[in-house]
Amino acid sequence: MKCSFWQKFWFDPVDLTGVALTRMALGLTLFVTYLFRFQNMNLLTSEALLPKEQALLLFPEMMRPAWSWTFWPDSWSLAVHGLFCLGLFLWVFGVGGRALGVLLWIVHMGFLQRNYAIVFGADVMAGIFLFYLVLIETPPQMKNFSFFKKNNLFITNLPTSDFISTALLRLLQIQLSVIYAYTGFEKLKGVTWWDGTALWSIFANPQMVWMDLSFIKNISWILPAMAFLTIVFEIYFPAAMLSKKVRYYWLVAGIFFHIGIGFLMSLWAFSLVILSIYFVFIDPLDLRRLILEMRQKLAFK
Amino acid sequence: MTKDDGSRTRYLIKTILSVWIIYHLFCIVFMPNSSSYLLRLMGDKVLPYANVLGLNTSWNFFSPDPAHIMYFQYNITKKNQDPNEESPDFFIPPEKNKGPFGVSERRIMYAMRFVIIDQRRVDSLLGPWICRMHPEAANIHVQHKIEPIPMLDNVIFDPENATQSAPSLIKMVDRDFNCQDLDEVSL
Repeated sequence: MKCSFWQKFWFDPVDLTGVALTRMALGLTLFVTYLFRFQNMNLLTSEALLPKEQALLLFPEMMRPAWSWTFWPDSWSLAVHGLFCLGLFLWVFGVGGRALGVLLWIVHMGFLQRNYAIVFGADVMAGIFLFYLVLIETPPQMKNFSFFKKNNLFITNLPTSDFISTALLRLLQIQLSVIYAYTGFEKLKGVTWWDGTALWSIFANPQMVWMDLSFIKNISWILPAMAFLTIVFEIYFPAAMLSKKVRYYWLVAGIFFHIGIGFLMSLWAFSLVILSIYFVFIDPLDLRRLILEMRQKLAFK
Repeated sequence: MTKDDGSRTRYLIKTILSVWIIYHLFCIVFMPNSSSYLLRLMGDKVLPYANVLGLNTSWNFFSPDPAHIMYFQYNITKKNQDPNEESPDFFIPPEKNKGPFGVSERRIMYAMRFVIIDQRRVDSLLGPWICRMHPEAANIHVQHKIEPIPMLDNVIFDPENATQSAPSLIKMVDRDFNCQDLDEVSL
């Protein structure tokens, strides 16, 4: 490659520590979400709101996939769901390479397409993030990882990725950045985000928050402040990721932001799916240092 | 394979990968804005790919404005029901204007919101579904209601009249279905 920046950014080997942690965090979040979905199997079978033959017709023609990933009949949904959970659990801990990963992604997309009406934003985002993660090689750290043993690759080695994995890691980083920017842009279209009262509409809506937050009207100035900070955080997320110094402040703000959403709105899957991707924005050396410090504090020798 | 052949193969793969990266980046950046001119211009080149991968999503969480309280309310008339017998009201979500906050119950609420985005889905999906859930029903009466959140300005500056000044209930849908001869309407 003659273009050195292009080569360095997209193809040079990188440390996959962040990818390993992202894979564990996203996989476990999805695993738990899918366990909960066993309760909703009636929404994925012939009893569902949406009959299978109409599943793809639900998409506007322009946005309709050319084929469905739901390759199984409705009567198999429970079995496929169970096998998916098992496969996901193995994948979380580094078992199975790209082949298992791609199969998991196909089944995940199949469940999304089977009944798009019951899909969470977290499911859709997880599908996109999974696409990148399953094509990245299994990080060597995951093959030998043990939090309790000293000599594992999280601490001792600096493994490097193949060039396909580097390219997909970069795309994963860009994907989350673009999602954040768009969520900010879309809010600017709304009258209530623009005048700063949008969070009131959320906090005063008992379908959105589980606790009574109406007391917040007594400190009402905080609502526009939080609304504008939300928009600034989201729109400038891609720019903030370019500088290591700013990036860490932004990520810490994001952690509080998403924990707040998860706690107040019970949208834990949504929050954890996004937070799981944060690991790929952290310098792998800092991650290793953090893990080492945690282990020392917990005295795992 | 000689060392030279190996590096040539890698070079070729990286070149192909670079072309795909540019194409995929275009999808990441422009697909979320489905109303853009650029997408109308180049849609046929990117949409089939983006649709299959699930990149055909707009990222509008709680936007352009957060939703108000909303729910479906329906009641059923049973076959051979005594005309003096009152039909109980059912709600989707069952909690009506509260929660739900359980993961699985929330999926039902999301389905309700998905249905109301395009009111034809009430006829094509919701009506037949409620009939299927209540095999004893001869007819069902379905309404979709919105309870607007009082505006912050009214709550702060005119608290006594805040709830009165907001429209109390908006009825978006009011439909009757005959479950006995209901054919599912195509979407």
